[in-house]
Amino acid sequence: MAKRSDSSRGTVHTLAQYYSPDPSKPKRPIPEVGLHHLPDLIKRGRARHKLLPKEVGFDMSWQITLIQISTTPYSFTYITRTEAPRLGPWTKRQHARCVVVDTQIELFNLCTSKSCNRMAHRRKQQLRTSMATQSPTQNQNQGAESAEPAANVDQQGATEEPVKQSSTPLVFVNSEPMREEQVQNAVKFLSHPKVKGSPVMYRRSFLERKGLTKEEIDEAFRRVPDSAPTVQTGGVTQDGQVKSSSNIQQQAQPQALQPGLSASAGVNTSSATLSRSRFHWSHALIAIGVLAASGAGTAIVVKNSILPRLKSWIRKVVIEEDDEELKKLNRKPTLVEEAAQAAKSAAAAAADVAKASQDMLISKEEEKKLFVEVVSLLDKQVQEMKSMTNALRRIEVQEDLRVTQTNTKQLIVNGKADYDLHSVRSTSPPVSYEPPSSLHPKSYMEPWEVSQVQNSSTQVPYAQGNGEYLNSKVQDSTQSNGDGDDALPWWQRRNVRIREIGNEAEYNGNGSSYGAASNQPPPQRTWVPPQPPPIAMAEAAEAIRRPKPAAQKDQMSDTQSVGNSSDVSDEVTRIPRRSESEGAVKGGSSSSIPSTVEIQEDQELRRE
Amino acid sequence: MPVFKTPFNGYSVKFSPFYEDRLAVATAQNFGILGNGRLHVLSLSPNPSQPFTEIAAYDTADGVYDVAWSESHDSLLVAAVADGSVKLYDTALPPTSNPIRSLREHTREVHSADYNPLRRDSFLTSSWDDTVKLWTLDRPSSLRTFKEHSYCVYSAVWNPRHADVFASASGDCTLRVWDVREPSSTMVFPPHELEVLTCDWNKYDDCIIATASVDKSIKVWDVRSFRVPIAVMNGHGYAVRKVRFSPHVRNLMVSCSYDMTVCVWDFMVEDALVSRYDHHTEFAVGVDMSVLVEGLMASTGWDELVYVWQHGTDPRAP
Repeated sequence: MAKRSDSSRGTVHTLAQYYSPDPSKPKRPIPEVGLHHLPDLIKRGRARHKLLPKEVGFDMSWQITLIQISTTPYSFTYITRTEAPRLGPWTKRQHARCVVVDTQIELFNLCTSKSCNRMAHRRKQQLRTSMATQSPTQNQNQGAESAEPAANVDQQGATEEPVKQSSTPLVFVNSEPMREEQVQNAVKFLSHPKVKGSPVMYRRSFLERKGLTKEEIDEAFRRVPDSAPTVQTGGVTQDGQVKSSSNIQQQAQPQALQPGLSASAGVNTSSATLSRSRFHWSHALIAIGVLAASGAGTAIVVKNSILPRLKSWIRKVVIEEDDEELKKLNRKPTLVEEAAQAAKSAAAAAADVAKASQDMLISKEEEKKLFVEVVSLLDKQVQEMKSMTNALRRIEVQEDLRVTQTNTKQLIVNGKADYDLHSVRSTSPPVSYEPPSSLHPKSYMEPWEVSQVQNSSTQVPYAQGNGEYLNSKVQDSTQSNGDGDDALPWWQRRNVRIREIGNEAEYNGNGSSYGAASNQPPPQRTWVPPQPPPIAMAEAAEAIRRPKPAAQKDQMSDTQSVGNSSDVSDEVTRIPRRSESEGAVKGGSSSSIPSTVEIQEDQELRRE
Repeated sequence: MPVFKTPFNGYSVKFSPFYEDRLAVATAQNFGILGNGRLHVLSLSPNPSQPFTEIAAYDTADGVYDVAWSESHDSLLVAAVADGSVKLYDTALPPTSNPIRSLREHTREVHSADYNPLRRDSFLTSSWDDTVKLWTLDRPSSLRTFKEHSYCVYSAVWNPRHADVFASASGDCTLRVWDVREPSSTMVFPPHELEVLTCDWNKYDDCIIATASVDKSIKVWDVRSFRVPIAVMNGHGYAVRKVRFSPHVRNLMVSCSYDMTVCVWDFMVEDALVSRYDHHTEFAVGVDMSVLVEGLMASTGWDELVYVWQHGTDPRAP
């Protein structure tokens, strides 16, 4: 067709603008493969069918066409485009109307064997006939022109293609032989127990990262029997064509490998030298082992150290912080096992100590309660004594008959006092027991407890002198007796006091003097000789005030049973003081009182 | 030189193989970490006052990490989206009917998309779920899944000479060469000691491949002898994000890096660095060289700017 020829010429002209030696126009570069013949083709007018490159040099869209053009000047394949509406501006400019024959190209690509070439030839003829039906004029020209080049294409294109296609697998496959050293290193790596635990994928990727080829990796896996690598390629579907072509490819591969081997011989030597200077497997294994061991060791140590730390923190709430530091010092984990055992024993000891301290507290509280009871009883006794003195005064005025009555009353009183004293005595064993136990957990005393101890100890001079801290604190003991003498003399003093109480009860009807005497020890920390009783009214007032402060002070000294005991003893001393003062006041009292005292003494002696 | 400001941080830029003045820009909000994404289709105009005209802009639910132009249809685009989907857009259709297809098979972010320049009917997508998937336009599901890498596959690139061969660069520090006809990869070798972020084939030599990695170097390999690189190019200050061979000059290649520069190299020459452009003020993550116009290159970065300039000129010059 004229049009076509014109258009073809136009095309030639357009194409020529790419290939013209015109220096003004930039020359598009042409890939190496066969395209340098293209201008010749075009000039000779052989390129009857338009190629549609956007740029012929390198055109990503049309690369396939360029490849297909063989190196011989007269052979080419025609490219046609089916989607006319989709033609881009380039094609429009070039007035192209072509049909893409992709399948044919595909065949050309894949075929390497002669049978395939025949197939390609047949296919091409088919296409030509189909195109002839579409546009007969085209086909005429095509047939005329392309018969010759097509034939050439079949022969040379086919020969081209096999070379090309055989080169494809050759090029894109590792063609060098397996390096035995690398394989052995890989076998060592895979045999390592740590590596055995890791997933197969990681092992494979590690080896790949080290530069092993697929064959080497597969060989290594084969040699190490346990590990089972799985080559994961999720192929969903493949074209039937592709499969057949792959079979053909595999046939071509062994042929291609031999030339590839010779080419890669030189590469092998270089790779061997490289491997020596490279990373050593043994280093990797050692590093892995060291890291794993250190990681496990730190994990164990941390576990063991956290447990005792938690327990010590709990203890901190109850105990002083000194113990924590001691335990931390003790807990140096020179060996993991020793550290664990030491921590466990420390925790057990701490728990025991906590229990003991708690028990101590409980017992102290009990003693405190008992002491309160005793104090209350003593108060009652005091009050009774007052009433007694009042009664005695009344009796003094009266006749001797009443004296007998008072005697009986005194007996009752004495009995009560005895009872009280017995109860007091019962508290003393725990009191004596206390200091040793209280001393032992010296460190467990809280500051407020310590201060209470101090207070109570100062109040009570005869704190059971075994306690060291009691000794130190009992500096200003009001009583003359030393702490060490408390036990025995206290007992003795008790008896004495009892007698004195009895004396007081007899001839000291004055509660005020009793109160005055009792005044002295609690407020004053130092022993002061009993002052002469003041005037009666003042004494009375003090006596009235007396029981309350005495009761309050008793309540204050709660937690320390030693304090309780000391208070008890204090009370006891107060009584004799009062009795003494009362006795002093009533110096010249009636004779009936001494007789009653005697009677009391006798009674006391009997009881004792 | 025209500059386009995208609302989001740029991730990839690709020239259209059909129109010399058209390019697509993939962007993602908040540096691609979280948020939406947008795909811009821009057209260069000779009008200096308005250098860019936006032909289309498509919003996506997650950042768009890469875009690829179709080689068969001039208005088709493939977008690699960070939510694991692959979206197809047609600029010829009204925006309401876009995306024309959303392919959800990847389980993690799709990092790159590449269209087969020879077959022109299939494209590859590589993802952070260690797989590379092969798709065709007419099928709603992938043709093949290539799962051999043990870490994110950052890039999968078709060989410009062999229609069935492609290479994949992965975070497990290996480069794999695949043949679609083979069940598994045909070659695997470690080009770098650290993660390989990108790879590209030479357009003039079908066996030469360039890889760039976190170790700031670009290495050019011949796959026939992959033990020793042909060339090693150092010069970037940080990890190299993308490498592209020039379609016009055999030895020329362009690379962009986290050191905010775009460098042009000639790997056959002793002093490989040809030129360096530091026009970006943030990570330069996308670069492309135009197939249709020699020397024209485009780059985009996290500073939300797209530059298009001619090699040898200053990209920031007005």
